Amino acid sequence: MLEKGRISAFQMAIMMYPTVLATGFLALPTITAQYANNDLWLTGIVASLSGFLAIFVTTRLHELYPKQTIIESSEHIVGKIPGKMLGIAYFLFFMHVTGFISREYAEFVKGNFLFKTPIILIIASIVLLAALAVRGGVEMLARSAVIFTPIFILPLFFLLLLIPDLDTGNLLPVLHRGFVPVLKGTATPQAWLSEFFLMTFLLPTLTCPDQGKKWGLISLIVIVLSMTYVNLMTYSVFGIDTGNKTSPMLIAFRYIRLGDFFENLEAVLLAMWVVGNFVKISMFFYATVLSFAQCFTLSDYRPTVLPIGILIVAFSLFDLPSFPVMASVIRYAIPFYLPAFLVVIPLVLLIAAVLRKPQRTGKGEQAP
Amino acid sequence: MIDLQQNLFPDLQQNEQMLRSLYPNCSDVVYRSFLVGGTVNALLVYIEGLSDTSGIEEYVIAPLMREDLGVVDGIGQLAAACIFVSQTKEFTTFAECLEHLSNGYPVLLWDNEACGAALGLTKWEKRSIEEPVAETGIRGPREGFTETLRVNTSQIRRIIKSHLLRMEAVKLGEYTRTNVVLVYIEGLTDKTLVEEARTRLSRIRIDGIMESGYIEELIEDQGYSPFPQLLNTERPDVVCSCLLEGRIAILTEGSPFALIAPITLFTLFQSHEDYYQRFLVSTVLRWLRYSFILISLLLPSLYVAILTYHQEMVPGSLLISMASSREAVPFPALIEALIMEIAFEALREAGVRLPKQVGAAVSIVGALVIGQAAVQAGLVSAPMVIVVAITGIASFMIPRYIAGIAVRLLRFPLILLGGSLGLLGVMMGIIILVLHLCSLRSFGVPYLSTIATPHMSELKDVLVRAPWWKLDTRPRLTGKYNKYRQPTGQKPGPARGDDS
Repeated sequence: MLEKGRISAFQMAIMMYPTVLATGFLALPTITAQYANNDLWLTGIVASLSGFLAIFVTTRLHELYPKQTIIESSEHIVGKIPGKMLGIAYFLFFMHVTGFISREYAEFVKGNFLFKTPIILIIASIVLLAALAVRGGVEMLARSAVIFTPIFILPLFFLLLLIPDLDTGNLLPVLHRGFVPVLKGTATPQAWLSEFFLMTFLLPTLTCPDQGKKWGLISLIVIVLSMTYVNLMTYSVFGIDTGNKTSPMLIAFRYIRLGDFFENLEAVLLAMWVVGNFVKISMFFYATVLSFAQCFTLSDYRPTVLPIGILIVAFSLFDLPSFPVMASVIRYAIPFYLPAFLVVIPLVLLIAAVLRKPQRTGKGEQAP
Repeated sequence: MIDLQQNLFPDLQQNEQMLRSLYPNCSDVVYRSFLVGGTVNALLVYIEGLSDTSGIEEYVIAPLMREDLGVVDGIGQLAAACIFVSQTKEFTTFAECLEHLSNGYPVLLWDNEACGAALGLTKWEKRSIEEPVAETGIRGPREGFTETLRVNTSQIRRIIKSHLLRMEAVKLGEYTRTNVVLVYIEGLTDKTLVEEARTRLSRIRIDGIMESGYIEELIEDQGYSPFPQLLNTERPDVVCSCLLEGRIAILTEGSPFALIAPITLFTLFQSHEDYYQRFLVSTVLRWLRYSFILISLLLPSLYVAILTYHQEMVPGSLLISMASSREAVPFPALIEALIMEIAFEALREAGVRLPKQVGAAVSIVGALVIGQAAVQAGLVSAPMVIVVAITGIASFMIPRYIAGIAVRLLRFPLILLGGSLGLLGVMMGIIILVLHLCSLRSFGVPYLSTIATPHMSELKDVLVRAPWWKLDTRPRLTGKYNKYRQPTGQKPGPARGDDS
């Protein structure tokens, strides 16, 4: 097997939290508020359906083909040549998405903190850090995620300091425009939650794989709660204005003021943003590298890390001339692009797998 | 070249010539020939200063030179009957003979026999047991290790009296032939760990070993790391508590510092006194220590980053006073911080190396020059002096000096990153640091294992210091061989007496 490291299901759950949420957090209230207005807090709950589906498909495929990622099992399901083509498609997809995430991260840092720094420096530095982590293998990713995720979660509690400024009346009346705006607002969050499909690269490394589903679901529930919490908090503070702000979380952090000493805490949010995105980018980077190595059955994936890293930096600049273009990609392309690869194709593969070997269903035997 | 493995000659004259040619120009080697019982020629060789001269006279030469000794045949019988020494060893080769001599054993050779006897009459000047200098405390034993290996092993043996305590001897160093002892407790320490330590020690090829620091660098897992992967301590109680957790210890002759492996990062942040004080006090002190370790690592870089890139984070009134004090300073905050930190490190290093009488002068000059004159001259701002001073004090809160050095060293790249990329740079530095720590291992145990692969039972001795009646299990990765320290449910209380 390519990856020799072993992680626990708990570590996997910890890793998935920033992997799914990191880029989403800041833009989440804006995108959902623009469609769903005061019902934006419902979007996270509706979007969780795609997360449940992704977890179900991933764990079921892993039960049918134990110790195999989707890259390996697809060759058994649809045959060698189509399987390889699918593997290459996944490799390109993950590389593109990794580049896109790095760009999102860099745009935020450049747009709010380091105005004059060249964007390529910000992208290259985080990709280099992620490359270091990926070279260390899945154990290194898991250990660093356990340390970074609390740093990522901690600033959420700072929002509690905004309680005096909250106006919960902003959220009422519930569902007065009907349910359709909520569904429209769900489009982008459900794409983020479909990223739970990345568990396919972690499940084969679990020490007790049967706990993977349980911890994946726990992680999903915590994520949905966090999304709902952030949506509720920001909308209670800003009301109808939420949809006009690029990153309402950042503005909310500017509002925080505690005893004349703690104020303008948005730099704390930057710290959270950096570590969360570091985990997310290294996780997607790892998926890229692993799908490449498994597709071409390499004996070691480490030599490919740096070359692929350079390609990721290139992809982050490719076809994204400016921030508005990127925002429209997030709004109109991502809701279809991500679920197509992360839910639809795996679901088709699962159906094919179940049809192909019905006699083995659920027994979790070793695939030939 | 003389073949040292060759056997002794039966002829005493030949043996003496051979020894004299092996030790030419050695004024400290003493040869004393005498007649045993007035009939047989014998030769006693020893190195002056390593052997107990009065003991040799009283217990060896005096009884052997008695005229009424009668006829004895063979050195073995002689040793059994006539020499009043508790420990005698027979040997047959010159190599063994030299080994015994340089370890301080007087050697007795005998005419017409190709073997000799080494007598256990060693005695040399040694430092008495004193309070450990580098690890002091209010409560706890005040004995420290000394330079003499046997004294150190006896101190451990006095604490752990179980017969399961093992002490394996190895000789390291081509010229120094330093005695090194691998200590562990049978049945409690993982066998593979002991085997690993044995092979790592046996791989060492070096001319000499002055201190356990040589061994540490030769057997650690990752050579290029600022973090120590073996703990060094001069306290027997620390060694013994680590042995009871399933770790191994390595004692080196000539060094009062024992090495302990495997360790985790948090071992370095724990003080021996944590376990002797009341647990609530220890827990709070631990939290204080952890937060000051973070301060000592991050404060200067955060200060530089915030002052250079994120001034909005500083409250208004404070910002005004800081700006006014920085008004006259010609340097950017980054240069200012580097100057001050380097000056502080220089003062600290000078204070450690200088004799005590001069040390006081250094601290006065340092305090005046750096504290007051530099601020008044407008070279540095007063807030920067405060930051550097707090950082300096914080770094001394790390109980292990060697870990403190690592943290102080890492401060400088972080300051550079903070000065060039602001908080983003500091966070990147932290990410690199965490990644490095995640990749470290100490004898196969991940350096961050206690928090990066969390187990609730592990945190009882990391996040807090649980009371002794709750510390039921040994650490997971070193103590899995023998999991339980003690039976559970020993919480004291008035009701407890009624149960039994």
